Parts: sequence; C-alpha cells; structure tokens
Amino acid sequence: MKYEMMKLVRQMHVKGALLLVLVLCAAWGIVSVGAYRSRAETGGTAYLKGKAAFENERKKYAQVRGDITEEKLNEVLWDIQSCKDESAAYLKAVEQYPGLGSLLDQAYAAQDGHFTLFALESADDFYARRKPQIKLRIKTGGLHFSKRELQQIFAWDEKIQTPFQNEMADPWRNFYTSFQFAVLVNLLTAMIYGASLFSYEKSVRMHIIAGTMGRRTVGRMMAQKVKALAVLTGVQYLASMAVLCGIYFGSCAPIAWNSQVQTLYFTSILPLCYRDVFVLGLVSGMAAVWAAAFFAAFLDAWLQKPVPALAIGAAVMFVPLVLRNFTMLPNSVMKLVQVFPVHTALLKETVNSLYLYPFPGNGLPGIYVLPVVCALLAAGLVWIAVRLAQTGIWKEGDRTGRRRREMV
Amino acid sequence: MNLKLERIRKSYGRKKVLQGIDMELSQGIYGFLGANGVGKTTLFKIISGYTRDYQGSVSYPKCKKGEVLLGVLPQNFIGYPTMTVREFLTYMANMKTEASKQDVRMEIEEKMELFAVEELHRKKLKALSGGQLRRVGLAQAFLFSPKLVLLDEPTAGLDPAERIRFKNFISDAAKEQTILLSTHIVSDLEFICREIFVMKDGIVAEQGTQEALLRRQEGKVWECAFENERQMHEALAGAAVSMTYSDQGMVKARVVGARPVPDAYQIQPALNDVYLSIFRFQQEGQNEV
Repeated sequence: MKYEMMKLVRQMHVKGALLLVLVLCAAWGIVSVGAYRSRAETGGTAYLKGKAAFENERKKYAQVRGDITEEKLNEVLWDIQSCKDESAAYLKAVEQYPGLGSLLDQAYAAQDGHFTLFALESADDFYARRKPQIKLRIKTGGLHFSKRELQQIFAWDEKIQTPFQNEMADPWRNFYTSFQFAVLVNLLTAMIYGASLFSYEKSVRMHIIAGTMGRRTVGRMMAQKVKALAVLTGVQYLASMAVLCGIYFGSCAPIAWNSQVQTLYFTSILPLCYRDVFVLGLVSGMAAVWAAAFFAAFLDAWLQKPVPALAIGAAVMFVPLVLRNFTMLPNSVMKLVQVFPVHTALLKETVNSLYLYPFPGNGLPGIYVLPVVCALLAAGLVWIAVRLAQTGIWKEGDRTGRRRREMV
Repeated sequence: MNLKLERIRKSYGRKKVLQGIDMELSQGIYGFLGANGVGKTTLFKIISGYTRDYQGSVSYPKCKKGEVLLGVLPQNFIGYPTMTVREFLTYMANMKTEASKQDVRMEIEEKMELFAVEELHRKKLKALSGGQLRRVGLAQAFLFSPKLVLLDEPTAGLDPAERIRFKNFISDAAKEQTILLSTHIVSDLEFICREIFVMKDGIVAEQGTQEALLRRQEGKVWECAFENERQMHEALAGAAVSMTYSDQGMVKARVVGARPVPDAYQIQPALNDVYLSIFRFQQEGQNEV
C-alpha cells in the first residue's frame, strides 16, 4: 500500500486539496466560534462574541441547569407571565431562563407559531405535549404516514428518557452547521481523489507495463489502491474533524454532552443525547466519505476517464441536496433521499427526521440507518470497482475480449 | 522453449494491422524495423500479453519458479513521475516478483549500476532528462533478468550520443535472454542484432541476420557524383536515393536499385539501403533513416 499511497498523495492536486480541507475546516471553526453571540446584560444592547459569549452563556445556564421538571417549568412560566408585556416576557425567557423558555415555546407553540406562553395556565403536561406537537409537525409539514408508521414513531418517542437535562446545548446548533461544511468538503475531495484512482496508470502510460503483469498482480495493485484511498480519505476526515472539534470544543467545552437532543429539537424521536449524536454523526460521516470516494473510483474504473467520473459522480452524489427541497415529492422518495451518503452532512435534519426505515420491531430512524447504508454502499462499490479496474487497465481503443491468458 | 508466434493477425475495426506473423525466437537480440504504423507496437502489445483479442497463438519460454518471464519498456515511457528512481524500481521489483527485501535491494543496485542511474537514485522521475528516463525504463525492464524483454522504440527522441550509449547498455544487459527491439531508426540495430525483421503493411517483408540482409543488397547500391544539385535531381528523378552529400566540390548521391547513371559505381550496402529498398522513401523522409 505504501507505493499506491505515494502515487496518490504525491499528486499536486491531492496535496493541495488535503491542505485546503484542513485550512477551510480550521477557518470555518474559527469563524463559527467568533460568530457566537450573547447579550452582555439583560435588556442591554451590547453583545459579547466568541469565547467571551460562550462564557457569558455558561454563567446564565448555571442558574437554571439540571433536571427539567414540570414544577420548575411552572415556576418559570409564572415568572415570565408576571411581565407587563409579551416582549418583556420574551426577553426574560431568553435571558433568565436559557433553554427553558425556548422549550416551553416549542412545547406549546400553536400551528401559527404565535407566542402562547402568556395564555398558558400551567406546564403540567409538558412531557405529554410531545405527541400532539409531533402530530402538528406531520400535518404542517405535509408528511403522510400510515397508521402503523405513526405507531412506530410514537413507540420510539416513548423510549426518550425524561426528565430532560437543561445544559448549555445551544452551541450544538452552530456545531452542526460546521459539521455540515466539514463533511461536504470531505465528500467532495474524496470524490476528487477517487475519480483518478484507477485511471492513473493510463495517465502516466504505465498501464501497458502493468497490463503485462497478469490479472492477479493487477488485482493486487487495485486492492492496494483501494486501501490507499480509504486511508487517505479516512485520515483527512479525522484530521479535519479533529481541527474543527479542537477549535470549537476548545472554546466552548464542556457543553451539554449528556442532555437529550429534545432540549433543542423538541419533536425529535431519537432517544439520544448530544454525545450519542456526535459519535453517530462522526461514524456516518466517515462511512459517507468512503462511499463517495469509492463511488467516484467505481465510475473511474468503469469509464477510465477522471473528469467524466468526477462530474457524473458529483452530480449523482449531491443531487439529494437539491431533491430535499422539493416537498411535493412522495414520502418514499424523501425517505430514500435522507439515507443518501450526502445526507450525513445534514445532521440537524437527521436528528429531527420522523422517517423510520424497515427493521424488525419499530423500524429504525435514519441516524442509525445512514452509517450502515454508507458502509454497505462503500463495500459494494469497492467490490465492483476493483473488478472493473482489473479489466479496465486493458481497455484501450478496443474492448478486450474474453480470451485472456495469464502471462506469468 | 523459445518464443513462438504463429499466424498472428490483428485488426482495429476494418484496418488490418497484422496479417499473419510467424516466427520463432531463441536467445539474443532481435530487431524489428519499420515505419510508424506498420504494426510493431501492436505486435509487441500482443507478445507482452497486453492486447489479448487477436488471432493466432503466442507460446512463451518456460519459467522456473522465481524466474521472471517478461520485461517491457513501452513507447513514450514516463514511469510514475512523483516517485524517485529507487522507489520506482523497488515498486516495479515488488510487482514482478515475491523476492525478499534483500534480494530486491541487491537487484536494484545491480541494475542501477548497469544502466548508470545509481547517482540519480534520489531524483524523482519527473526531474529526469529523456535519456535518463529511458535508462530507468531499461533498468525496470531488465529487473530480475526476464526471459523475454520487449523494448518498443526505446531511442525515440534521444540525441545521437544517447542512442549509442543506449545500444551499448542493451548489448551489455543481454545475457541469456530474448530481447525484442522495435525501432524505425536503422542505426539502433546495427551490429547488435542476431536477426532483423523488417515489417511493412502488417507482415514481415524481409528478415535475416544483418549480414544476410546486406548480402541481398549487394550489387544494388550505387554512388554517383554530380557537378551541382540541379544536375543530380534531373539525373536521379524517380530513383531511391538514400543519402546525398558534398565532397570536394561535387554533389554525391547514394542510390539503391538499378544503376542510376552510366558512371555510377557500386559500393558496400548498409542497413539503411535495405530499409530503403523496402520502403522506397521519398527524399524528405531520408534524413531520419
């Protein structure tokens, strides 16, 4: 693999892309941290930015962190309702009760999204509000589920651990955006590397020498190429994530690792905390990067031309990013779109998704299905690509026939 | 067992590139001479096993365990540009055999010395000159002394000094091997080939040892002198002129075929004349030959 890695990594465009990904992820992390804002004083107009803003928010959360019980929420509600008007109440909810005000809003928001806390008598049914809010989301989102699917969704909902933990979860929103960027640049560069993997021999006219070494040796060479691509894209992905996470969590850690994702996404049906989503996101991202790389490599093995392989590969790989905006598409298509490798980047959507995929019992949410689909896709593409590349090396003006003899 | 080609035919679409090649080659250097496009490269690709959809059969010398059958230096060789010479040769050696690291290292040292590339061992292939690159190409082709070595147009683009050096390398490297050397440059084959095959229109138009080929041209090569070029052109219109040059104020011409002018005198034929007698080059194509 050493020599295949040499061939791959020493190409100028690969070195450039590798460096660019690391620089972009670092820059995105710095900008993202810098863009985090927090009001310096309640009612004031001055804002703190970056690390200072994280510190300020942490202090605010320190007052209200811990189990979110219905009693606590009632106290918050009555305190908010003691304000003279709605805007003062909103300000109080945000500033004095970070996390809680927003949760109450999500739990009791009406269909038109009107601020309802003033009219609310109590938050005694806070945890029971999830079911009607999920139904409301299904209705307003134009989603269509069968009775059985609805049962499965609510079965998952029941697995969610209560009471929720109120911790400083807000930075996760920014992190998911940064994660999306990092995964997308990794996917794109992985495709760039993959698109010239198998046709490289032709580009340096070594295919004739390689072709004389027999099918077995060529097969070994192709397998080594696959390993080199997997290692390169894997190392790049992990390095870029390390850079991004280092900058991000270095500035705002510790954040709400053990809080349920419902503290930000109230209607999510995942019984997971932020730490679980982070780990699953990382694993999915890795599998998606490999799937993208091997998809481009498969096209390159088939076409033996890097540019068309990259163009077709990128078009197919990134098409779900466009398709997901077409809400008129049937549920089955949208469901499929959400397990395309590129969807790994959209962690927010995956956390919030209500789609369940066929699995004995109550089906499986996309966040569990994505890494499996990506890994299977990557493995399948490797298997086909190596076989195509094995014969592709002999593919010149004419397609070689079946009568092939081993030379050595 | 020798390398044996039987009734080799190959077409690209309707174009027949090889129209029945038969030959049996034992140890030694064999030259394949012919203009561009006569099928030399196609024949080499067939022998190397790269092209596999052809008619006829190729039988190869038998190899014992650990022996390497084939070494190839293709036309326009550039190798892996980002590897150093040593890395490239090590990689090729590992691809060709399953020899131990120690054996690979010794073999590479030997071949680097033989082809005078040991001082370049840390240089990347993309930093080498044309001549240096061909020597690296030769070194990889001769790694582990394959039974059969195919060198396709190995001197194309090299200056005369490099070509002479190259010829010497091949002569030195050839041990108990069958070496096939394809070229359209006649001087590449002089004195080193056991047999020469002149290819034309997909067949072997002429074959034999250098001496035999020259013997067949005896009495057919002439030299004649003229006062000026105009006189020469008028007198030699339509004749196969292999070379013209000035000598003591006269313009002299070397002609292949029937006596071109009454005062022409016979001279010793050279390989160029054999080539010319087959291909009947036009005046503008002669310089390269």
